Amino acid sequence: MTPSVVAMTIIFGIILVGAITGVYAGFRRQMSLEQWTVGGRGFGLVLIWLLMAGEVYTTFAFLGASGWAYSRGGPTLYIVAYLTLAYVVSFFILPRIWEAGRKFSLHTQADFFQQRYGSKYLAALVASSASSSLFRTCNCSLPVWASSSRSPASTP
Amino acid sequence: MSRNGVLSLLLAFVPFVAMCFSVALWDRVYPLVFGLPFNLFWLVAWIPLTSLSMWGVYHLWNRHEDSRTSPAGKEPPK
Repeated sequence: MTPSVVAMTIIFGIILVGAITGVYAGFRRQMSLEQWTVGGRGFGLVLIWLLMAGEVYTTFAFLGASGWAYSRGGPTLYIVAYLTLAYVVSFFILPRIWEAGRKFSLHTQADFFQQRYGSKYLAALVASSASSSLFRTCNCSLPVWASSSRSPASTP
Repeated sequence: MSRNGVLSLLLAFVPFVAMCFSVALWDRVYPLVFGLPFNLFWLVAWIPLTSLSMWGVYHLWNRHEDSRTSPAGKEPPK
């Protein structure tokens, strides 16, 4: 078996296990939009803790940040600071957002802005800027990674 | 805001001072600590130190919230 066959087997194995688990969970209990978006607001402490730790490990953390550190050096150390400080700010604001979300049964960030400021247009703006930032992540971190992986060949 | 609330906000501000507002004081390569440049060592050291200060913030902030929901002048329900 070549390494690429092993890699593809592992990737498709994980996808298959995930898909079967998802479909099985869907058959076993009544699904609603609230179940799909926020897990029925029933996630426990350990699961939330692991999810918040997992939030840090994005495409940027694995490809963008390492590529950027390789090509730019020292300034990338700011990542260590901002990720740590982000949780300090989160400590004060996330419980409030969680309470508001439960009280008004909000599902998304856009729902929160519509409830808080009573404006459909603001909610649409938030929703579109949130989805465009997903594309921006792909467009920004991948070229950085690609350019840094090319640079060893171009530099002597 | 109660005294505990102010204290907890001040304590939460300590990591900001250490990592954001004092860069010129620790942004140097030497002395190496465990083979790390001093600025990297400083930032990595402040990850556990931030957890430590957030532990204090958590307790102070809970006391602040408790005092807000049951004011000192009012009798607690029996």
